[in-house]
Amino acid sequence: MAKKKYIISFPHLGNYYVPIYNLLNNTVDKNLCEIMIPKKMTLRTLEVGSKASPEHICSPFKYNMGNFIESLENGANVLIQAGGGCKYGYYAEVQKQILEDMGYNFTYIQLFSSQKLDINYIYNSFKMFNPKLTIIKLAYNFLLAFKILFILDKFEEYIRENMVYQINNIDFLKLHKDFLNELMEVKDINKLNILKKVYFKKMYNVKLVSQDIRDKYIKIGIVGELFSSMEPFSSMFIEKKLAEMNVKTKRYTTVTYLLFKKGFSQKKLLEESKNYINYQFGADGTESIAHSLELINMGYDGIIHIKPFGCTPEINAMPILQKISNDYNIPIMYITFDSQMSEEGFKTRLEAFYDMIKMNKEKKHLA
Amino acid sequence: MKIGIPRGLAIYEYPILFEKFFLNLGIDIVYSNITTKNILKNGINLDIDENCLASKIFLGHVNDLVKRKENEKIDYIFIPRLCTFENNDTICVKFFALYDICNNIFDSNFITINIDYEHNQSELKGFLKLGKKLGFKYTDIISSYIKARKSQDDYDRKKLNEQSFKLYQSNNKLNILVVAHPYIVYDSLVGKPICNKLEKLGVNIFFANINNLNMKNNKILKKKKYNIKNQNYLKISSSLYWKSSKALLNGIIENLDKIDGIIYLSVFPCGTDCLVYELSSRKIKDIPSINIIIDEQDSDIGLDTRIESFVDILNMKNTREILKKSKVI
Repeated sequence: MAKKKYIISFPHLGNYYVPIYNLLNNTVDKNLCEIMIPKKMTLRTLEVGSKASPEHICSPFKYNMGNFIESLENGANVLIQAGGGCKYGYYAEVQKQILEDMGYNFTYIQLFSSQKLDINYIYNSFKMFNPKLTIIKLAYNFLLAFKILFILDKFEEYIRENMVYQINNIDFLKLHKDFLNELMEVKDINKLNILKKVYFKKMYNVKLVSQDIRDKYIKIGIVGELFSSMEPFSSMFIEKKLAEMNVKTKRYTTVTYLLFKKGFSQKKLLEESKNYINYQFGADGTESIAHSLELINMGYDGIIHIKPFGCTPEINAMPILQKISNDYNIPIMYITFDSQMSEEGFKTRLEAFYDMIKMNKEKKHLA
Repeated sequence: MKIGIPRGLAIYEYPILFEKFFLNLGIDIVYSNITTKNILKNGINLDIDENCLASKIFLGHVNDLVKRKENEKIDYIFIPRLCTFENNDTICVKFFALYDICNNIFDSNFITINIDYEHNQSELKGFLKLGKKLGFKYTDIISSYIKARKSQDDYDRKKLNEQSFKLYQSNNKLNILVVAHPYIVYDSLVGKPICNKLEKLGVNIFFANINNLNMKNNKILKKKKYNIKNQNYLKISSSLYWKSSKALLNGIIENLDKIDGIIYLSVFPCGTDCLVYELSSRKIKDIPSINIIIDEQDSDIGLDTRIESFVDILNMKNTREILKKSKVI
């Protein structure tokens, strides 16, 4: 009797399905397993996710749930979830229980349990998908995946910063799409380096407007919770919408930052914002405050603070941001994304914010 | 010296510890008034509107103390900052930031204690820093802390004994377990009316936050990790890391065979509770339960109806079982 195939799936987070897919693709035995990238996020994802979730949990839970359900409907039978600070570390257990109660049959793997990395556990879980796997091979694949992650973050950061300056509107978009497709199938680090060189050269060669025109653009910084920062669907493509209005945006949160830089920078961030806070806020609360101050120093015209519904760390940061906004006389807009937001209303708010900043700027210019 | 303590959130987790510590050092303490509609109203005006009800009530209490500060000559307002505990336990992130939030919202004198085991700030260390800031000698601080800790432990033990005694007394009344954080269930605006209502309906109420897990060993110098007894909550959830939620689940499991119904009580929008209660109500299926979420606009009448019908259902279930046993049905 032929053994049933493992069909592995995971939740979406921006374009980070690329390194995850690459890691799984290189690690698992193709005869035993299949990798299923979850369906692209749609309104239906959120709908089925919300239906299965507790009512007032923060929305990332609902998005994850929606991804899982859509994958399970398409035949997935292994689900992978990570874990982290605040409530994220506890998502896994509740999601597993709910999905089981819904009648699905699956294996559930939580890579990081209660904020600690258990290498042995990860190795054993992957061994299930590839009996011949050695720990060295797994380490190499992880390294490769992390390298892809770095490159992807760097690439996307450059695009985000310069998207609004490009002369030909689709240059970056096309380049980005091709690069993602190539990255998915990379097998070793040497090839990755070559690929990086080629695409980064192309990226730097995209024609941009000259510096003196750039200075006239309005600059808005985006701070806030990690999921809505990194998953454009959950924040209604805020960066793209702002770019269409000719606004330059900047955001700090990327997976590279969260995994590797955050741990070292906590003290520095606290030092930067010591006029306002004495202690850490948990999750990304401290970052929101410190980065807002940084953005103000860099001369940004406004800040947008985004969070999904029910995000306690970011709500904690809001009173302090309000005070900063008063002290430095800088506009800060607070946007909460939940499962029932209308896109038109959101657009109106963005436009009003933009108009207000523009008028402020003109007033300053005249005075 | 006089210190004001707002009656909300962290204070309910340690009702005796802070009070006794200050009293032992010879400091006068004054609590804010009990929660009223007016306090809540002030809290709502001060707080971010998406914040949870408990935090709005807390800010209302702080506001109450800030207003009374001049007249009653309060030197400091005490707002503890709780973060991480022994054994990688943690607490809702709201508690991480309370002190800083109040510092930014109000213009007043605040004082804090930082308990953060992950960053090497144990309870003892926190109290030493607090005492030093208030200008006391180390010897006084340590002896006050030890005495206060002992009083807190005695108080917890006494409460537990009372509750278990009540559980073993057999009477024909229904036993209902109220699962809620202490700052909700003992609050005079949120939890108290519900408990009063239940008592009026003739039920025995038990509290899940009183249980064996909260009984600590009395060692003062605690290690970062040690073995804990009575970890019953593992039967419901293995990856839980919130200290107070662990205690609640423990309370459920310990009393499971003696109770007729469970009331899960939380405030809107509590993220930790909605995950933990969801899991718990999915795992414990043979005991009827009701999930009550209270927000700032609740009408008492709708709530009364829900509680009454819940008790009625439990009563009917019990009668049916008795009849079944005596083979009437």
